Amino acid sequence: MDFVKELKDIDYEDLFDRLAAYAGNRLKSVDIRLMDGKEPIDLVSELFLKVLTGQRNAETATCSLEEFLFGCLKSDIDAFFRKEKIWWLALADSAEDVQVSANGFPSDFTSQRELVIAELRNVGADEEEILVFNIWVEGITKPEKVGTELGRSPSDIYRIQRRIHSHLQKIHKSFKALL
Amino acid sequence: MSKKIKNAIQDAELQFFREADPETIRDILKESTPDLAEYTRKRDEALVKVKFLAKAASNKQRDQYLLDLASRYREAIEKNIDKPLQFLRTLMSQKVSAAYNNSLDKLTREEIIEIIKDQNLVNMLEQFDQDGTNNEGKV
Repeated sequence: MDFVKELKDIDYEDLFDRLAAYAGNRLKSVDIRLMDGKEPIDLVSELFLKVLTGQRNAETATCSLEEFLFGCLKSDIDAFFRKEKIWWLALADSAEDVQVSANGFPSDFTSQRELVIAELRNVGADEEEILVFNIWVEGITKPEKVGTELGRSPSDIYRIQRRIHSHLQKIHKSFKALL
Repeated sequence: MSKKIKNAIQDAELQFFREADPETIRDILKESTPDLAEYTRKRDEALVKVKFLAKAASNKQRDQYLLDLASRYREAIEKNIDKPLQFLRTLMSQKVSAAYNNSLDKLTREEIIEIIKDQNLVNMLEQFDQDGTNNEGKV
C-alpha cells in the first residue's frame, strides 16, 4: 500500500464511524457491550494509534489501509470471542463443531444451512432476507455484488442486510439457549 | 456451526460496514450509541491525536522514500543505467528553475531530492525494483 498517500487521502471521520459501528455490531450480536472493559470507540482509537505508531505494521500490507484496519479489528474481536469462549459467530474449530453436534445440531453443511434459514424464518425473516443469506453462503458477500446478483440497488441490499443482522442477533439468543 | 456459513455471515457483515453509505452507518451508530453527541465528541477528540500521528508518520515515511530514491539515483548515475537516467533527465528538463546544470554526474543527493520530491515516490521505488536497478547489487 502507498501508506503516505492513504494517510493523506482517507476520510478519518467516516472510517472511524464505520469501524466503530462494525465493532458495536459484532459485540451486540453476542449480547455484550464491552470488550475487555472497552467500548467500540476505545477499540477503534487504540487500533488507529497502534497502526500509526508502527505497533501494527500497515506499511508493508498489500491491501488498502481501510481493509487493513477492518482486518485488524475483526481479528481482535475474533480473538476476544475465542478467549471468552463466546458461542455463535466465534465458533470455528472442529472441537466446537462436535460440541454443537452433541447438543442436537446437525453437523453437515446443508442441514446447518437449513437450520439457520429455519431459525431466520422463525424470528421473522422474509424471503428477501433468505435469498440474500443464501447468496452469502454461496460466497458472494459484498453488498454491491449481492445487489447485482439480485438486480437490486446497493441501498436495497443495505436495508435487507440490516434486517438480517437484527434477526441473526435474535438467533444467537435462541441458539445459545439450546446449549 | 459450519465454517462456510460462519465465514459467509462474518464476511457479509464486514463488507456491509465497509461499503454502506455514510447515512446508513450514522443510523446504526444512532441506534447502538446511547449518546451520539457524546460519541461524536469523543471521536473528534481521538481523531485530533490520530491525525497528528498520521501526519508525523506520513512525513517520516516520505523523508525515508526520498533518501532511498536519491541513493538509488546516485547509484544509477554512477553505473550509467539508462532507464532511470532518462527519467531523471525528463524531470530536470521540466524544472523551471534549473539551477543544476545538465550534467547528471554532478548532481548531489540534495539536488536529486529537489528534482524528484513532487513525484509519486512509491511508483518510482516500484519502478526501480521492477527494472532490477535497486541498490542491492542487482544491477
